[in-house]
Amino acid sequence: MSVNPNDNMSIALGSRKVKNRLRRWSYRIISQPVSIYPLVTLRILFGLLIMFSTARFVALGWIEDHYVNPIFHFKYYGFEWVAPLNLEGLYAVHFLLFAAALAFMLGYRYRLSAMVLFLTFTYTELIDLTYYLNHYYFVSLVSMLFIFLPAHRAMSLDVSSSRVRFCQQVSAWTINCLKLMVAIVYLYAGLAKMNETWLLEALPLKIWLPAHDTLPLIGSWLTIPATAYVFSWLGMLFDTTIVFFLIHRPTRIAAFLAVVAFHTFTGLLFQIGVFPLVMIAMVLVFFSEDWHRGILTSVASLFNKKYVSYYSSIISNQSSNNKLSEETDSDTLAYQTGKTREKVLLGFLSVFFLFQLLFPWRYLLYDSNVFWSEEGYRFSWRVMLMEKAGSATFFVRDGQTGREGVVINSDFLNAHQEKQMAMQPDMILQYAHFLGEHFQKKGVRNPEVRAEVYVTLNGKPSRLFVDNQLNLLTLEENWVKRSWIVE
Amino acid sequence: MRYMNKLTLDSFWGKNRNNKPGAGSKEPGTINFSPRTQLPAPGFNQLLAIILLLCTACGSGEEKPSDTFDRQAFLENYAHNIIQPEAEALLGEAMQLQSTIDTLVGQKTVEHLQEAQTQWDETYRAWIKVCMLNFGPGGTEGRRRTLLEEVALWPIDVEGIKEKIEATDPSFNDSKRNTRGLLTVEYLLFATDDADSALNRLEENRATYLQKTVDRLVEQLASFSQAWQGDYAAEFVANDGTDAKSSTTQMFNETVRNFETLRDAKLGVPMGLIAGQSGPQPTLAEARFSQKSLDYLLLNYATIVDLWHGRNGSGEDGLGWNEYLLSIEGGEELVTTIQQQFDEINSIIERIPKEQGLGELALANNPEMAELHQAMQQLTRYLKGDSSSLLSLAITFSSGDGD
Repeated sequence: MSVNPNDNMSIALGSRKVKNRLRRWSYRIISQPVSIYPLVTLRILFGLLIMFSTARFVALGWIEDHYVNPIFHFKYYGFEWVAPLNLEGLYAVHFLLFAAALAFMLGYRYRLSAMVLFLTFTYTELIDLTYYLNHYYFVSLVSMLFIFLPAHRAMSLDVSSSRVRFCQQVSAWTINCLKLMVAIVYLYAGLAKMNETWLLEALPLKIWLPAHDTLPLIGSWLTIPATAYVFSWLGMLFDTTIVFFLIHRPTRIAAFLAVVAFHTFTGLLFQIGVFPLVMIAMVLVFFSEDWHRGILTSVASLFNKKYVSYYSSIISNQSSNNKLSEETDSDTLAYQTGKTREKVLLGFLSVFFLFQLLFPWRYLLYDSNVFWSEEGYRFSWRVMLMEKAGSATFFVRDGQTGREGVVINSDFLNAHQEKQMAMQPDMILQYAHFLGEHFQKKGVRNPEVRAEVYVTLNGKPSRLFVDNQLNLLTLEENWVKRSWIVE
Repeated sequence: MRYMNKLTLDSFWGKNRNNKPGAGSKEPGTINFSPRTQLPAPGFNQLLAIILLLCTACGSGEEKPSDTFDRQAFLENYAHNIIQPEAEALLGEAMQLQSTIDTLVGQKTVEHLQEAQTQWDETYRAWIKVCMLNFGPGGTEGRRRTLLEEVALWPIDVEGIKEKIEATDPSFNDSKRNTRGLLTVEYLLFATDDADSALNRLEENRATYLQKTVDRLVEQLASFSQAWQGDYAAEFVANDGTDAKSSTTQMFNETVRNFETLRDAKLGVPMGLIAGQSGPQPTLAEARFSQKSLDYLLLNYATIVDLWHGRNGSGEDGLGWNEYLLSIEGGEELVTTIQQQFDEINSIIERIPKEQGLGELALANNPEMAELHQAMQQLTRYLKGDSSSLLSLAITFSSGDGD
């Protein structure tokens, strides 16, 4: 076979072209210096929202309700060792979380406060699985990302006390990783809505919307079945496309207004707490650096005129101080970590995002309906996606006497825990093991625990959920397909 | 198309359009183009058009709301036709009880004792009609516990009651709610089978304690009834949403909770059907001294069925949960299923040998009672699972923020 030398050349040329393009692209997404101000805005808003949500949590008495009063806590797989502190300890943790969020917002001892924020927040989330929420997971992830981002290099106490040097610019990856995180949330939430039930049956919105017929103005519309279809499709289109409209400058304002409208509306309809505010704040990451600089300057000038001039003076001082280096203005003010450190960090972030991109697809490895068996349901941005409820009756049998008794769930669980447990297999299993241990201590010999669980999904009549003759104590929690679920 | 993709990616990764020329040109081959001038908004207008089309298409299809359920009328039925009369009736019976007890204490005769006992039974029957209203004026507030805990907590603390009688201090300020209430009155009136010895035991301290207990009870029931006859009824009707604190949700949850109390505490525990029990425990039955536990249990069940249908004491059927469900897609099937389960339970109840008390049935491990418990368990599935899901009611506010 003869090879045309021209082909080789064109391949070589082509690959060089591709290489160049890749290099350019990686420069843009990773190392190009960009303005720090988007990071600053997000730091301030994120800190503020965590303070607000922590104060709200404590004020509503949820420390007691969620963590202290329940006798039994459901654990996250791999985090079984996380246990709730006592009442005083939990108040201390929440106080610490609040203080960390405040320090984080002000940029005071930023890395430390970001780390404390991440750890305390995540700790409180890990105490009980039944309180799992996608947006808490999101907050945990974002607060972890912030630890590595130089969001304190401008408009912070760390800079004004000269603890760190002021930077006007940062590497592009620091902002892009937040964009990617937000993009994943919306995109995956949208992809999850692309299913028959959501789009063709308008479920669960057909169940949820009519219940809100008392809302002013639109209430009566919510009872029309067509509204559920419109909202289902709009919701799916919104989630899947909004990021692109936010990226694209000409559509950005309209997209942001859509974000505000969407989250305000869902906030009114559903009990979703601070989630709408968190998302509205986070999408600001897509706004231009001019916008961020503008908004920050005007907000700062409200508080302190000197503060603004202080920054201007730093900028001009450092700009005129060019004799020390041959770098350009922007480079002098750019934040740079050590080369190795940045490489390690970027490596870590690559793994992190690879995980974020792949983990939600794990449900494909199970030959089951993810909505029913929930194998691979969590941590996948499936937000407000189904109406599911169950009732679970547990039976404890004395292996020696054969006597079997019914468990009164409210003796061990609060209403919320019971509701969550009654439709999620891993929780059913955990609870069964707890019951086995509890009643063994109470004198039941060789206990066997079985459960009669009936689950209704999207308003369909309830049906048997798990094998009701099986001794659940013979099963261990793992990642293997749950053959004991009745499909 | 490729160009659009490139544009999307570039702008996604924050291509720095506002960079000073120097910064951008550092990387060879960087093109500083402005998509704003070169490209139309990709897809946005089209998408907007589709969305608008979708909205108008759907909007024109069905302009009138479908048959909506009048939740205000539903709440009015419960407030005015059911709860108000029952709360008033209970207060009336309690006041009657107060006066029969006063008569008994003034003149300790067998006749007066029997009168008081009969009146206590009337009062307890009236109580069962409202024992699920543990929200609003019957909910917790400050030091006040739920109506059920304040009025009829059991098992009562016999030793505690005796101590209080001896101390001649009917202090009701402590948290020992099982030393007062209707079931403490029951204990003081019924605690022995022998009428003469019951009278003999009713010495001065014990009589005083009895009177004070019933006085306090009347006070509590008066404030409960007055709240329902007064402003609370309007508040209840006006709070017609379906959020966790709405009247509909509270009433639903409390009715289901009452049903579970009936199933487990009134039936399961005395029968010894609960996990960890090694046999029947008839002493843990509700109202065991008057020996009518089974009657009360069945009355409680009948009351729940009436409430489900929105039926009042005189049998008038108003807007109830079944009508609410019927107004919802998929509700008809559920209503039929629930009715079948009611029928199933009724057929079991018919077979229970009612001439025996709950205690006897328990000690005999009566199979019908176990069957009843099982059938009630099955009903829980439809009430707590299917119904609450279809009605889209929140279980609790402290359940945190959704999803």
